[in-house]
Amino acid sequence: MRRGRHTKHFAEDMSSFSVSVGDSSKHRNIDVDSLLREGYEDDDQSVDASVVASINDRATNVRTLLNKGDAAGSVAVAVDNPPFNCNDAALKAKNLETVMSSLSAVRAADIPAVIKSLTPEQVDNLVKYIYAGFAIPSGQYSGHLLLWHEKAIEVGGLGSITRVLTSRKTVN
Amino acid sequence: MPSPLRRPGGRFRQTIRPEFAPWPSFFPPPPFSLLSPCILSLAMSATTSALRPYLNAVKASLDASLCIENFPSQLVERHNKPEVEARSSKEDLLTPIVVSRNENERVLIESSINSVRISISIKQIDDIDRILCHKLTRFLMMRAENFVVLRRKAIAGYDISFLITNFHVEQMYKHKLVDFIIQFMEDIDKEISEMKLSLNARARICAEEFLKHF
Amino acid sequence: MSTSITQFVNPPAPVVCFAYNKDRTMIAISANSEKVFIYRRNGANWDTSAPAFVLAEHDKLVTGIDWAPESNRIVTCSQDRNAYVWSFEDGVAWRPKLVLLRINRAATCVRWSPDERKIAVASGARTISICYFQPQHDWWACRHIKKPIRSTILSLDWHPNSVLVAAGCADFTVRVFFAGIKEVETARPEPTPWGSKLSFDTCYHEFRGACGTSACGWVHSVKFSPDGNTLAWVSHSSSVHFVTSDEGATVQTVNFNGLPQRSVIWASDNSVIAGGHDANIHLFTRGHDGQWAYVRPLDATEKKSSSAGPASGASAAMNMFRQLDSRGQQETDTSLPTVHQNAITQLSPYESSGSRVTAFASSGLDGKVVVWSINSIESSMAGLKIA
Repeated sequence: MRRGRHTKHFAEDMSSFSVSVGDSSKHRNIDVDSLLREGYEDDDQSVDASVVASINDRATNVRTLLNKGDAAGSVAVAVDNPPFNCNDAALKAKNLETVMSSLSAVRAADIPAVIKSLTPEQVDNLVKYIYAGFAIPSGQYSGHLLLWHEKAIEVGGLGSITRVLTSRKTVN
Repeated sequence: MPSPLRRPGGRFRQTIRPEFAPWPSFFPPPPFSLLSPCILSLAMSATTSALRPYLNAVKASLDASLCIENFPSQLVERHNKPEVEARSSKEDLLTPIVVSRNENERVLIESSINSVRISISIKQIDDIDRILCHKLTRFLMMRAENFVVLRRKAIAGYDISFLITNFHVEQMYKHKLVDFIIQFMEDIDKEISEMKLSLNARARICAEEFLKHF
Repeated sequence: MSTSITQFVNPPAPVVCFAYNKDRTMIAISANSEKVFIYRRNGANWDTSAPAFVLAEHDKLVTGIDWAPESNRIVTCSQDRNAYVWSFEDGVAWRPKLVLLRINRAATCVRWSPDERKIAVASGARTISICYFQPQHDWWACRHIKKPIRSTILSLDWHPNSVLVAAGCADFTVRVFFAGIKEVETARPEPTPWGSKLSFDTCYHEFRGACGTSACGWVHSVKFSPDGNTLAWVSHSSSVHFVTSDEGATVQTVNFNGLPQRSVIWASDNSVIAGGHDANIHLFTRGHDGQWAYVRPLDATEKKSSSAGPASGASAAMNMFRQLDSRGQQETDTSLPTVHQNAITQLSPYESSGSRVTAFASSGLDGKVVVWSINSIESSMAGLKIA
């Protein structure tokens, strides 16, 4: 009985002791590295009214060119000036759809000619959009994009792929 | 009662009773399994037309991503970690890229300054493909040390992953590493379809033997 | 003088960095290990049977070696956060002297200043240590340049006036700092077109490549031109960037189609040679209008495959495996159509006349050190003039 009382007393002490230990060990969960080191931070991207406008403009321009049957011209419009500075995923997805509709309208035989008509910067943007199109989960454009990829790499070389890898801002 | 059937490899297996048959009893087994090789080969010929561009695209993407160099850890002194796994600093990581052939077959390439992680999603059409793929990749991943560049766990959403670091690129030719990955992608598809064919053949023989008694 | 290829270490180990002495009779190599090997040359051939000297003081990989031509001292830095200055004493052996870097991460790159009184060491501690000798303690003490560097510094170069330092970092920027130390400079430093404030660790400029709206990749190598007025650097986005010291000059970015380059040297005041992951060396020149452009690759080795495109490369690989499968052939052609069989890690001038380089050396992950002669490159390629 004496022992029982002793253990109960001891247990009470232990429980109060454990509460204080829990409080003082919160410091173990702090991420010291993030507080101590001012590392590199990417620039903030914010949605800009002009970016939204440019996405919508591009969608309408591409649609009109496709309705006219000018698939080659629509590609040049679609890959020009991508909306890198846009934080809104839905807008970027919509823009990607526009570009994909333009790329899928071009026949396989016409792809080399269309790529030849693009500037080097547009070819780089095209390769960025091709990889963004591959990442679409439904994979609906993938077959056609593989043809585009082969021809675009012939012109842009592996350098255009490294520029996709190193760019901090993406089109999707 | 038919004697207990043994699978090749010596594992004892229970007799196949009607209620546990893997296919409905009203479905006659022989025509179905005779047809399956034809279906498979038809399917293969339809998709193999897109295989070359897919593999070429993966090869080009790998050639560009495997430009890695020795980079000591910025967080821990005297350590050298693959940055794509440690993910300690944003600036050391590159944008991940995907090359896909359709919604089932994809390759995810995540690169960084000293390492590259390649995750492959293998074509799986039906349940048998899923089981075979799972078992085959698990077999390979358990023996990852022998592969050197294989990762023990695949990235979520993919079936198998490779991790190539700058040390591998220094010891081995980079273009041969890329060729190995491409060859692996081709071979694993072949392996799974071959295993499926032999599985169906064995199942057909089992069913014939069993149904002879009825 | 034609291209000379030397494999120093057997079995082949990647050459991380190397440095020649003044008359090119000795070479110090870091063969992917913590030891530095010095090989000697007798006549035209290098004695590759065994290194003449082995400098073994570091614990981890030696990442940078530089040899001061006039004072014949070697400085080495390593991933074990240390650097040593070696001097050849008594004509017998190389003795190290400690350099107090006071860094807590690996050192990545080291350079003697042109006047050989200071050493700049780049490190993963996001610091540049400018080291100078203190005779009273017989060691090299240092001062730090920290702000505004935000990531590991991958490369360094001194300006010809020995007080400006350019640093290329993994945070995609190149910065020009004033690194003159009052106690060490023999004469008062003059203001340069790069900047006029003459206090230590002033950052004059922060440059980023112009890759559209996104930053370009990590800066692998940065070099001042021989006259000090132009800065060239190579980054991971397969581009070479140039900026002049003129007021308000913008960065010129030349994107090209190959893999990223890892090292760059100035062949003259108007041309630059870069080498990197595609195991090839490339030439860039500045036109009369001041615009830089990519000219061509300089490795004239005969290509064994029909073309260099990735599509045909893949089909060549497929053919190879098909052959292996159907005919059981073990012979596979693993060689690349260039002299180097793996990425090039460093380029260094070998011989120069004035500001024009007449020969340069390259080292690669395949363990080779190759000396290229500009004359033989020019003669093997019709119409090429590296001015």
